[in-house]
Amino acid sequence: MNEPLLRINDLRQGFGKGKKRFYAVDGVSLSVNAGEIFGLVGESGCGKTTLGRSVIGLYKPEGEIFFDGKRLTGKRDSGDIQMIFQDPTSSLDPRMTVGESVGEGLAIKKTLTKKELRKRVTEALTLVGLRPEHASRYPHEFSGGQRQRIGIARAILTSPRMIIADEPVSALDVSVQAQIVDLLDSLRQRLGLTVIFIAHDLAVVRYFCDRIAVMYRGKIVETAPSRELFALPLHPYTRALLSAVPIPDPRAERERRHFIYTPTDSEGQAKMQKISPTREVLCTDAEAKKYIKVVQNHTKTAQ
Amino acid sequence: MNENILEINDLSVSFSVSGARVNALRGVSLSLRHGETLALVGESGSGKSVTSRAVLGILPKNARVDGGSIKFCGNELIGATEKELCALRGRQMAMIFQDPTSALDPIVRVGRQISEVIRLDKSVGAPEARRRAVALMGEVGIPDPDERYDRYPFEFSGGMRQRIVIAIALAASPRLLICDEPTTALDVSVQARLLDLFEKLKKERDLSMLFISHDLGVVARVADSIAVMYAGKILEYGRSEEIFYTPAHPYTRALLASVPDPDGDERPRAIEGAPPDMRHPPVGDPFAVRNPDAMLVDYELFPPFFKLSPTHFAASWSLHPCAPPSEMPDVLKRRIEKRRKR
Repeated sequence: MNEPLLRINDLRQGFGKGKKRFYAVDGVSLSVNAGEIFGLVGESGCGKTTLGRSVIGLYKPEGEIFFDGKRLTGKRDSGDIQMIFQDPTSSLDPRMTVGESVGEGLAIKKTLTKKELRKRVTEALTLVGLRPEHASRYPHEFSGGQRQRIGIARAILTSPRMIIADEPVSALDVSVQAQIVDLLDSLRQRLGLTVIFIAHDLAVVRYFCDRIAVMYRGKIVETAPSRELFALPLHPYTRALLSAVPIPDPRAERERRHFIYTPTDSEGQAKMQKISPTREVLCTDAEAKKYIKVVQNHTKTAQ
Repeated sequence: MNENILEINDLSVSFSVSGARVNALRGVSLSLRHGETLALVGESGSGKSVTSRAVLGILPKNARVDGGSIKFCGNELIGATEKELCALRGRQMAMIFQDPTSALDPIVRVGRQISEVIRLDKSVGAPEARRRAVALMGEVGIPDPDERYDRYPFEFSGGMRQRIVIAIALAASPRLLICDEPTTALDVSVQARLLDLFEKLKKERDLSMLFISHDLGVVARVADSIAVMYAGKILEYGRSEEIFYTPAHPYTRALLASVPDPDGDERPRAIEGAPPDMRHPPVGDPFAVRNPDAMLVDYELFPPFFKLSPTHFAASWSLHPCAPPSEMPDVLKRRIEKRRKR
């Protein structure tokens, strides 16, 4: 079997000192295959952003991160992994032109001539659906959706192999959200990108991602292919989270029941267990047996 | 007796922004029936928040009401003095904002922030106000209210803070509650519990609500009626089910089709382009430039409201008897079909 593009092994990232130290990411292992769109979902404070930032090298976490078979340590200067941030307004310097912001990643390396750099910036802007002349304008002249396109152009400039998109659409209007998701998808296909899509909005994740990991309190509680996760959520937290997503349908909303997740005492003994070839759940041995049965029954009835 | 608690008629509001006039509201009319929830939906800049602020008379200084009327329980609010408005704000009508953190005073204990509203009624003494505030905190779902009464806002989570804001809003037993994106800043599970709370409060307290949201899932949960806003105008309004199952305006349809369906795998359809620049609002149907099926007349003349049912109206030339039949986006058609079968 092929080595996954990104493999994370027992990653821990703590904040604070002494007794107050707590782990925002608390023993996360996962792998992301090349060309995949991998969704990382969970509520605020679950550690999804910290995990993304650890991969990009903004923190010095405990544990191992392998990218393309090589262990990542210290600074990431190859530009192989890039990040797109949530708020396109605060992630762009208001006093830099769009061209300067987009080109910065390559300009600091001083390997390209000005002309070559300009060509790369133009290419990147065109790829994200902006026009070359936009390079000389300033961020405030653009709408939220366009600013996010600028952020994406900046991320793809270094020809990365992986993009970590941290809530890239949650600050945007719904009609524009779909535009940006469509753009990320077309870039993935054209440039052969692998995408880690961090989001709290499960509806977006559902149709966009191939595989999803659900995070809760610094741990991944369940990973599964997108379809399987929504068809049959196993971990009680996943079930609670799915039941809380509002559906744009008044009749369905009226009939709906919301589950509330309360952590159980057995949480301490839980470990990541394989339930099917494609699914893993954080659970005890007894629970794993139960889940395996549930999945088998479900596949039988589905056939 | 008039059954409408709030009636807005032909309201126009403009802002002066660096010398230019931005027409934020361009003739908005709507009515909210007593005991119901009316949702205003639309994208940022469509005018939904301006509408709610105009009702409370808390528009920013650079705003000007250019015309129209707002009647609350039959009393005209446009032109009312600050004193008259103050008698209503917080007592007859209250507002809940998006961000609970900035709505609370960080250095005043939360219980006190609730009881000071209760004590607007001069006949209520301090111990009685405290007792009522504790009861309110319990009603909005804050555990151990008696013990939490003396805590500060920073000691609460986002969801609990929003519950305190709701308790403050309810403290003077208002008749109208205006909620401006009250759950947008919160996690989905917290949001679900707050929406349950709104439903309970509406029933138990006979509240009328003006509910502003861009999230159509949330709107489906809370609204009795819906008004769809775009570029400072209402383009369609009707009962919740009419808007969701038989949307008529091309914008409403496009908006519904752009929302991902958490209940299905199908890709939503993006709306190309961006909303118009309100310094130079388009003369015709403001959505025309983003509507691939727009007709010539859409660019030239704002359409009148066409009546689709006694409660459902839409302003689109595509509903004119002479217009060619207009189709819903396929994604939306399939989605509605799927729901009918259930």
